[in-house]
Amino acid sequence: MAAPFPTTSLNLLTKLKQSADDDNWNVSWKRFLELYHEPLTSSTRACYRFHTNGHEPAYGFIEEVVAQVVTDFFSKSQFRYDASKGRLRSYLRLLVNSRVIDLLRKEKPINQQELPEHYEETVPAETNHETESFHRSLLATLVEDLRNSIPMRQFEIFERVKLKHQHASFVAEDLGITRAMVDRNIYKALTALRQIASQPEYQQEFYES
Amino acid sequence: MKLKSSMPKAKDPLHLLRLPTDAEWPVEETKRLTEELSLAYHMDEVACTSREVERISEKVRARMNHADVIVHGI
Repeated sequence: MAAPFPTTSLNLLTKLKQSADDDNWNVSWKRFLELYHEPLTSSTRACYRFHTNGHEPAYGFIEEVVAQVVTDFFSKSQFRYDASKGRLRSYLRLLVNSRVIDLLRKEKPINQQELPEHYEETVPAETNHETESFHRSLLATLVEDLRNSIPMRQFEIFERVKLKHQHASFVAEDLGITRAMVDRNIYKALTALRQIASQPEYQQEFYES
Repeated sequence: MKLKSSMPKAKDPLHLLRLPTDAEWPVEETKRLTEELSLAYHMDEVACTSREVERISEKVRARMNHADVIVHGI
């Protein structure tokens, strides 16, 4: 049976955090991969270094881990994300760490010592690079949510001036509107962005530990 | 002249998103935050056409198809 149609539009982050409870996934895994492959890659590197005393993973190893994590995340199996148990990013790091250890056991990279049978799956502390990558992905998610929640024209003006750095006067002339209207639309877009970012899902991912 | 290490560190512009929605945003920090948004936007644009992401997508697709075969016995 199809899942009930949502009565209110959910933002992308809410969808990601709630999708495990629904009958159908609301976010495509491809879009999730595009938005979050950078922090997943960063976490894979960090976990690999941690478990191999500072060695660097091969590209193939990273791609395998990221692919498995995305598959697990969308598989509705035992890897379901439970939002009540913490941040999405903490959960993703946990998944990455487990997959890194699994793959190290399976592939036994030539330059690595074999992991002991009862190896403790300690999750390393988040590195600055991981934090920055997660923040960038969250900001990209925020931009996508903004695109979906304000008038198309308003987003276009915000995108051209603030994200693509086109001159406001040029955009005004190109769209046949006044410069003051451009400024007003940017102000409204920023206000909407603040409202989206103030939602608990974003606040939790950005600021809680 | 102040030594670089003794200069106050610029505040992370992300803290603006924590302020109440009616609080005023300082111009300089707002500029830095939109700069961060722009970087994130371009990262996303690059990811959409990245070969690396495409290769990983193929692996995910293959795994998901494999899972379908197992679950539904197709």
